[in-house]
Amino acid sequence: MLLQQILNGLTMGSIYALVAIGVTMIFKSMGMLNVAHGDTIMLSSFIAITLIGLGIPFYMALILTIIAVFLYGLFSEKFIYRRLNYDSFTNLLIATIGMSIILRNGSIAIWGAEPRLFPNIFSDTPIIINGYSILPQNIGIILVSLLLMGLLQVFFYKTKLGKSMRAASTDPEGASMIGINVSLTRFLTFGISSALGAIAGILLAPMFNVTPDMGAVVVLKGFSAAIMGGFGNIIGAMIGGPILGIIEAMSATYISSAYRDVIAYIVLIGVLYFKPTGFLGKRTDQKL
Amino acid sequence: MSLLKIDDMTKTFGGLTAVKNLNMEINNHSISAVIGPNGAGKTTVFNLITGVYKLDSGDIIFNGESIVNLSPDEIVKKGITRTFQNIRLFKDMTVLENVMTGFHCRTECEILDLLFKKNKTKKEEAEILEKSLKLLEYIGIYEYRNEKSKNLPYGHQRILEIARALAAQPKLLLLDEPAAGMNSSEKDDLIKIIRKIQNDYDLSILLVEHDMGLVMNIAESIVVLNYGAKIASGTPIEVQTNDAVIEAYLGKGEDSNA
Amino acid sequence: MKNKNTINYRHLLTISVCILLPIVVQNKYYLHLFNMIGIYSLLAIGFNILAGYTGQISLGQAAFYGIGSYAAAILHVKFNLSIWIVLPIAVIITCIFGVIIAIPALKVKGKYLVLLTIAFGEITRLILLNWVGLTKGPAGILGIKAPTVFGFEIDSPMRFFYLISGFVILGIIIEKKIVNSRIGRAFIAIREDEDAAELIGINLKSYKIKSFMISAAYSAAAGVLYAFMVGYISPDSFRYDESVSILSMSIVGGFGTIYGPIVGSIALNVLPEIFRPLSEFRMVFYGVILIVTTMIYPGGLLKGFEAMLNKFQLKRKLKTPKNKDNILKSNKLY
Repeated sequence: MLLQQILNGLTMGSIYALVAIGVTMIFKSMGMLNVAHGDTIMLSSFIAITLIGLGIPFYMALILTIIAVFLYGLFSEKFIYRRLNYDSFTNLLIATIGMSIILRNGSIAIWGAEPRLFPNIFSDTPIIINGYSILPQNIGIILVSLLLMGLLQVFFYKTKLGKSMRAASTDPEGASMIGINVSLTRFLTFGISSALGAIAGILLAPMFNVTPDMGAVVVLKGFSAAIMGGFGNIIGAMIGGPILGIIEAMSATYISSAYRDVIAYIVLIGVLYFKPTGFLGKRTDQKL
Repeated sequence: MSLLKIDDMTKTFGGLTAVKNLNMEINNHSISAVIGPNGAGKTTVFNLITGVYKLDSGDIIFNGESIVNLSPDEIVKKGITRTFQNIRLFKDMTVLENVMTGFHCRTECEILDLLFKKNKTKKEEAEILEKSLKLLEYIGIYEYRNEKSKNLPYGHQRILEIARALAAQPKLLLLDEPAAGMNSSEKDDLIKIIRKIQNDYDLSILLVEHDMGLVMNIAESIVVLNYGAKIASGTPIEVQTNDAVIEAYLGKGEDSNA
Repeated sequence: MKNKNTINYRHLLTISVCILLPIVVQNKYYLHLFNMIGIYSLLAIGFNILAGYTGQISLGQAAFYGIGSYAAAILHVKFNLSIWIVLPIAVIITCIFGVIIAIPALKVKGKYLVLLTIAFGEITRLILLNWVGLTKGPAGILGIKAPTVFGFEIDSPMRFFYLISGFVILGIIIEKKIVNSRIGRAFIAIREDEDAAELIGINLKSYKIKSFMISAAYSAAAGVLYAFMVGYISPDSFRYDESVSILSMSIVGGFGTIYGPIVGSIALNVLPEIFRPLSEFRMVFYGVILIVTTMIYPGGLLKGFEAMLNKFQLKRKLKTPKNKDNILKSNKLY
């Protein structure tokens, strides 16, 4: 039973990790909280369903969805967020809020508010190990997630483009002085972040019904996961996701399923209070 | 009888010892300076005095009382204020509002007063306004009073920071590189202002400065730091001719501001 | 010499509009809309003081709104207390929560604070939803009766309009007093540079807590009015979306200005109505307008119209004598 809970926790945690990485990338790169990320996730699910409904083969539809959302990410950076020059936190927040409203209400207008079913990506038949029954879905999500995280690590640490993106994130001025096109890195960051959101959406959709609201809670969980792992770095997001997933699963089982989310949020506040990331004790007023 | 006494003060950051066993005294009604090559720990000393950093060991005694466990705002109330190396004005406020904010810790009206004790509030606000205007006039930037502080010319911004620090009625005023970025006529004005303040107000001034000309001109006593430790102290003449001081500066590359 | 307390043409205009509006506009739907504008104005002012002036950006205002609303509703329904008794109690209870959330908030800045407040908002909503014994859970609280003011029963949108306008006007007066005072300067100093503020003698903890409390008080008042106006509340009215709306109104209207919240509340409540003919796509246009506004008027609508404002003296500005000699002799400085 405990193992089952841990497994569930890791499954959800893997999705949270993907969401957390998505929001962390944008936070690190542009200093903005992309509250529309959840709606990106929702959008992906709807696009996928629509493509499948049009008769496109399943896995092709998924790939097209990821590409479409990647393009959407590029588009929104270039035509909307870039216009704001990334200098005002509150204005960027409003812009993402506006985007969120457009996506959510646009979805209602186009697809209606009725929940839809999403076909299973992984097979339905449970795998039996040692008397425990495990859904392929759980293993599948965890593996996909690990694979993606591995790919991202390779990309960011071993490829020139990835390293440039990290540099531009950490120090835009310095990076541009050594010839890195910071604008391009931001452009791509948004694209990649959105694509990650798309994958998260596709993994999430079979488990829950697809509704225009589905992104709202998961994006908050993604932010929580990012903070628990130490907001501002990708590795932190990767760790935070499973941590959050397991905390939630444990709370649901041993404390109360209604208050499961409350526990997760309280842990979040606790983390922020006892280990406020990044500026621990460091005063910035006198720098030579 | 000293105003400020720093006793064997040490501060390390990770592996780096920023300030090492520093001993210093500042008397009433004096102008002193702390100098030293870049990275010598001068600004750290200011940060330690004003409560931004906690000491690793040692003590700081102000007016007979140890201040090392006080928060920065408590230390201001005790009577120490400062200006900053990279100007830290309240940019969106006007010049006048910046100075009025300086009077904050010497006034007391709170929300309940605001809502229910109109006369007391009105009277206190009027006082703050009057004192602020007088201070601006005294220091010479009255005509800019309604400008946003970020629109002021650089030299005037530095003067404004001093005015704001004065508003808090300090007994010890710390000036962190007040002449940085100023041209020579602005520096002359600065020297005049510092002398005027020291003359008219009952306080001591402690400067950190790189401009040797300015320091030798105003300071009565100087402490020289290098790698966080005091290598010399005394009057300007004594310090100028001290071998260890000369070596510290020449060894690092001569300071070109004098 | 203009004195804050003298009634000038600007005040007269506002008061006339407030008195005449419900007489001219009899349509109940529109009156309800104006009432909601009033309630959101109070919420937006509360947010503006905390975020616009003190720089503590919160996406959890719905929590204060909800706590105030539920506190009043529960006390009223359980003990049959009038609005005039439950209002101050609800405000005090919410202020206590303001202090509770302020404490972790003290340590946290910028984007982390936003997330902290989101968490707080969600926790509150979930507790309101799940503590069925206290709040009746998803069913909500029914049977909140119409309040009475000086013997008049407030049971129509028109009467509520007068009641709410009164609160909004009071809210603006108090906001003005706070902003133009020593406390307001402390708040702005914290927003501008909190380390420098501390080093000029401002106790950060104390003032941040005060800011949260004031914000909580405004939100609670709005919550109480809302409860009595619609007669029924449920956790659905206090979701994260509400916090988002409140933040949007304050920023779009004019962040860090006295009247910005009102302008924002009017703009963002009227806009969906204007777009009503577009039916399902109206909110999409709302989102578009939000984005466009932020691009064109980065400081908010109010700051965008600053030239016009100077004429009506709506800017926060101290009058000081031009002739220096006067200041040294004169006692009258306003």
